[in-house]
Amino acid sequence: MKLILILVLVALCGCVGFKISSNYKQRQKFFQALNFFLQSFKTEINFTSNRLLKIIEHAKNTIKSKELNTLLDNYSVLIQNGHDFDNVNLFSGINFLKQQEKETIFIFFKELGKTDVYNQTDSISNMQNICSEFLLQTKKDCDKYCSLYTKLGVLFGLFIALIIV
Amino acid sequence: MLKDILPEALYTSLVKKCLEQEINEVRIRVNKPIVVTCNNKSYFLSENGIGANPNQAIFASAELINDIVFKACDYSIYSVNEQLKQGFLMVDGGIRLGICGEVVKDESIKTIKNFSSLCIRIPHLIKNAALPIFNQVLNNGELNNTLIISPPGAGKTTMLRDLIEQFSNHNYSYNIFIADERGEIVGGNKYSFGLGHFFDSISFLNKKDSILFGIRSMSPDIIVTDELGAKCDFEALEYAFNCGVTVIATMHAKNIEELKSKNEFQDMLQKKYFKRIVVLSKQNKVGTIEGIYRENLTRIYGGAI
Repeated sequence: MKLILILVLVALCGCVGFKISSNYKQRQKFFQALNFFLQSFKTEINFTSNRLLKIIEHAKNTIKSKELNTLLDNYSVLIQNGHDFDNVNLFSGINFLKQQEKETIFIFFKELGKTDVYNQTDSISNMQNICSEFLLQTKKDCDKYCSLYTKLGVLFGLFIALIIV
Repeated sequence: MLKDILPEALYTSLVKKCLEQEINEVRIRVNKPIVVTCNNKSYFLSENGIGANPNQAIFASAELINDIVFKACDYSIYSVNEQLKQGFLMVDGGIRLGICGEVVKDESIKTIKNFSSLCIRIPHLIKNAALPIFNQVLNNGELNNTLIISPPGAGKTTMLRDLIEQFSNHNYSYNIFIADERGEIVGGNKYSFGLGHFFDSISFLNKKDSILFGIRSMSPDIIVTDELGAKCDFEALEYAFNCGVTVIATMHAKNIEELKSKNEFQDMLQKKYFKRIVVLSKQNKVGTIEGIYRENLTRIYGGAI
């Protein structure tokens, strides 16, 4: 009985630690997906000149980040319905981005579709460079914190289990 | 349609006192009242609908014009920049936005910015508009190269569209290739005009390349194109004539006299390529047939239909 209780406690705390660390994984996944989306967007506008919303619709089938899909959905709704295009509405449902990241992404999406192919391509390339830096940072954070929080969770669980038991 | 490109409040005001089908044109200029042409009469647009009083009219802002252009291109200016450079934008349904603003130029025109005015032209299908001339285009089983001329806004393109559809209506399966340089004839994918069952089209390509493309790849019996003007347009047509393809086209000219004075058309006139020339006007109503002429400019038919 005590053994089961110890195991449950350790597992619970381990899960909490894992949940905290998953934030970092989500961020990494988000920026990886964003980079991929930007590249395919650049290719599409240079080759097919397809309309923005159509490109977004196609891209959503291949995007592996739920949060990026949410961002693109928010963007599509905001520009079509003429609602206030602001930080709050664009990132609704996305909680793990830092302020600087939000501002950069917001400025990019605000100006999306408003220039010719060449300037649009330049803008996307700039954004890709910035995203690559963000991605690098998220990888570092993930390497540093992901396993750390899981291990801390397990240790904490053991500690609590020892005290109680 | 118009509802897709205008802000909701503006569209609601627009259709309060007239139907969308009655609207010919909407002119939006920065810091000026919005003008609507409805049933060929001009009115000012106020919140309560169209009227004669400019003091109650809605005055347009630069932001409004930017929003309309952005919406009209599906939030993708990069995809329509080639059209913008020529001062227009085609919207699904054949709606044409004429755009004025500041031209950005290097060695050639790069784009237009700071839009200052819009002219939104709304096309209308008029069923059987071309019926009176169909028997001239297809005369005793023989197709005649036909040129339709008129001043701007007299219904050339509307007549052209209906003419294409008449072939289907009369169960003729001639393959019709449409060289739709401005995307106006076909009207786009979402709201394309009927045009029957036997047409193929290339949009947003110059007439010369389009006609070459069409003849080489689509084996057309008839080539249809709109707004002849440049020398290269006529050179492309000559190629079509020499390939034995029938051509139906339109051109800006008030009457036969004006047509005769156009330098670019002299060669066509002398070689008598066009067997039928149809003159339209908007004297009584848009699409009034003023006359039908043979290649030697003798009149077959004259007087309004």
